[in-house]
Amino acid sequence: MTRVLVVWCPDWPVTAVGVDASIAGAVVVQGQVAACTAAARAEGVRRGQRLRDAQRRCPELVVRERDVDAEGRLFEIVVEAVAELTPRVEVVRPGLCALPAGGPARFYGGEEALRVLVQDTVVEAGYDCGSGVADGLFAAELAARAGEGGLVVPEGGAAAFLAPYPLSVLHSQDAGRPELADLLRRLGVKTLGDFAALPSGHVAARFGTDGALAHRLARGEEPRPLAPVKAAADLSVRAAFDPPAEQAERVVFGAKRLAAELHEALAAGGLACVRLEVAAGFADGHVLRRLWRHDGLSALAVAERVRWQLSAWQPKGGQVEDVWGGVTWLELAPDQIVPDGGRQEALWGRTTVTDRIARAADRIQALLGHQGITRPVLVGGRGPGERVVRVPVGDLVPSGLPEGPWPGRVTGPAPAVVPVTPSQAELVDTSGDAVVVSARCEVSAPPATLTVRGRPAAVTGWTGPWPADERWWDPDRSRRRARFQVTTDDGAAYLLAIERGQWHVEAVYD
Amino acid sequence: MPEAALRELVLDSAPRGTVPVLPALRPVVPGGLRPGSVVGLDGLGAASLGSALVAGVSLHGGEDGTGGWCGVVGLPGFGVAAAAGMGAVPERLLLVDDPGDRWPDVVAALCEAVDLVLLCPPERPGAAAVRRLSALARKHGCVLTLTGAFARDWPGTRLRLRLDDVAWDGLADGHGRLTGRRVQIVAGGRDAPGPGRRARVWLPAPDGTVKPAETARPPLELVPEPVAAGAPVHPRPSGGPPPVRAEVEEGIA
Repeated sequence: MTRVLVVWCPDWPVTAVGVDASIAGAVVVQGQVAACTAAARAEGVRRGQRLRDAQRRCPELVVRERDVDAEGRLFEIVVEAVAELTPRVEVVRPGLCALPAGGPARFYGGEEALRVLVQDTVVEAGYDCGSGVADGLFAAELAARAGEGGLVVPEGGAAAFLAPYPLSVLHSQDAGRPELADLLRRLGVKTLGDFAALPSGHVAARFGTDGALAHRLARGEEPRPLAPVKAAADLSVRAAFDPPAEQAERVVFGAKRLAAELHEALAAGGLACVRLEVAAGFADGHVLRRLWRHDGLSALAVAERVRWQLSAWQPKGGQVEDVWGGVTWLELAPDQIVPDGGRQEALWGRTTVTDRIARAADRIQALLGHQGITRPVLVGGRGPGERVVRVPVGDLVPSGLPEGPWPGRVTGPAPAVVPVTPSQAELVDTSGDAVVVSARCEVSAPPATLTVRGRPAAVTGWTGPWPADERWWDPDRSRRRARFQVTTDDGAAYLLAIERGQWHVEAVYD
Repeated sequence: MPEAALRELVLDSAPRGTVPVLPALRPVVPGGLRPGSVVGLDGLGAASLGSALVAGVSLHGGEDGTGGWCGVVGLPGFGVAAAAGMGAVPERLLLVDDPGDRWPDVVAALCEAVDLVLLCPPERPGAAAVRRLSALARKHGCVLTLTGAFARDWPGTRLRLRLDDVAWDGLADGHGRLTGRRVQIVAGGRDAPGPGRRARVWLPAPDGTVKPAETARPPLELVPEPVAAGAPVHPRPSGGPPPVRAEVEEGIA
């Protein structure tokens, strides 16, 4: 059993939004109190309370929305302070981090000394905390919360330490298990000690894997060992421009040097990055950030992407300095670092972007920008225009696209022309009145003449209406259409749609 | 290179020297398109013809016949789904929807990489651009396929394709749905001399592909022999079957 030291910052969600522990404050999620300060707790505010109830108990309660990002960000300060003492820190969640206590305890002269040292360090960093040492993470967390600022549970004493705790700590530990605690309470098992006394085989048979896991926790056995990771070295590179670079050329030149530096650092670690974040800061404080796909890009290619990024933000015909006073710094940060497995070219049967194609695409992207040249991906959808997604060459195909079925989709051969913006059309019956579709999908009269781009043609065949009522739950994006297929006497066939009384040519079967 | 050697071992090398077309189009473009040539598409059905040519290259093109790359320039409405239905592989399509006035540079870049460029010039092509792009296409063996309003303004077009006898199937008065279209593809120009070549195909067939339309051939008919004055009514001594004639422009060959 490994000895674990846990640093616990009380009421971290409240601390993170900047509410002082001495005043009554709470953070709420969807109208329920997610966390509150000690002062608020003294007034009777509890976690899970409705905001109304909390404010009734404590009218001067300071209420904030929960900010998960800030929690993670601020907790980095605590982690860094702890990492000054011992580098192997595992962040369990914002507000709670753990480290293996064995080695550091020997170095700092005992577990109690280490515990106090860590606590003092965090308090010096500006945050209140408790710290505890015990066998395993679960016991150590409770030890950190126990007493005045935590305590040390002697080796092998975890079960005895845990025994008096009520079962509710099992589900406050990590989300889930309220049913288990509730069921056990009704069975007359009220404390962790009672629960631990049950035979483990019976617990597993009655409560399943999750119950067995909880049972291990209650007996002071750890379900998993601590997995502290060595903090990845910061591989991002940065260059400052003084005076601010007013020519894009200068920035691009700097980017080339930075990219070479970055690639060297990545190669030294045997790493590759999936994406690259390019950030450029301007003299007036603007920052341009964009993620680029980095699949074995050369330094030159990275510099080229920086150029596109700068030119993309330029107004037509203008210069960078006209807008934001020149670039003062440039940063390249590798994102999603993975071990470099090398690149494997496909033998046959799979499509690879050959060098020739990649070169041509690069040249076109240099001319027209990153979005200028695309590869189509067929996806599901009802209308012909929704069935294709255009992905810029070099970007990954979007994943998680919705799959069918698509009731009401247009079947049969696909149309050869799908205009980006449907053009308007007029469809009239024999008496010259516009053909309309009622709410019950009844066509007012058989269409006789179709006018597209001012040229009328007699209708020779038609079918419809095929109603498509999409996203009716979303007032901004909902669309209600009825589609028709129409052939005319000049040999053309159209997919028409009527929306709000206006006919459009959605596609042409050219 | 061992990889290339393996490829040659495993795959029959496609007949080199031409840019392949779909089997259904072989009667009008026998042997495939001439590399580096310019093909013009006209009138009704130009988009379907373009999709069919793209599908042919995408399916049978490339250095080893396992599939070539195509570029589509200036056609934001290109029906990818239709092309895919005819057999094109979307992964091997490069779309430049809006090249603006840089279209000659875009086509020049694509010519060096892909086997076929489907181009809709956004403006009347200038003589210099025509000369430059034609030369580049010839040099790299890339077929330039022109469509749109200015397709006729490209000098040196060796092959022109258009549709004739268009008939849609499946649609009636108020019911049914479009299932397929029977057309006659007419090839003209220097690469199809004389009256041109014709073929009846489904473009598209009910399953979205391009198929020869054998069923569309008109039935054979009996032709009575011209009767000379005073000849007996049944003059044929050998008793052979009466001569049978098919429509000449049907183009069985």
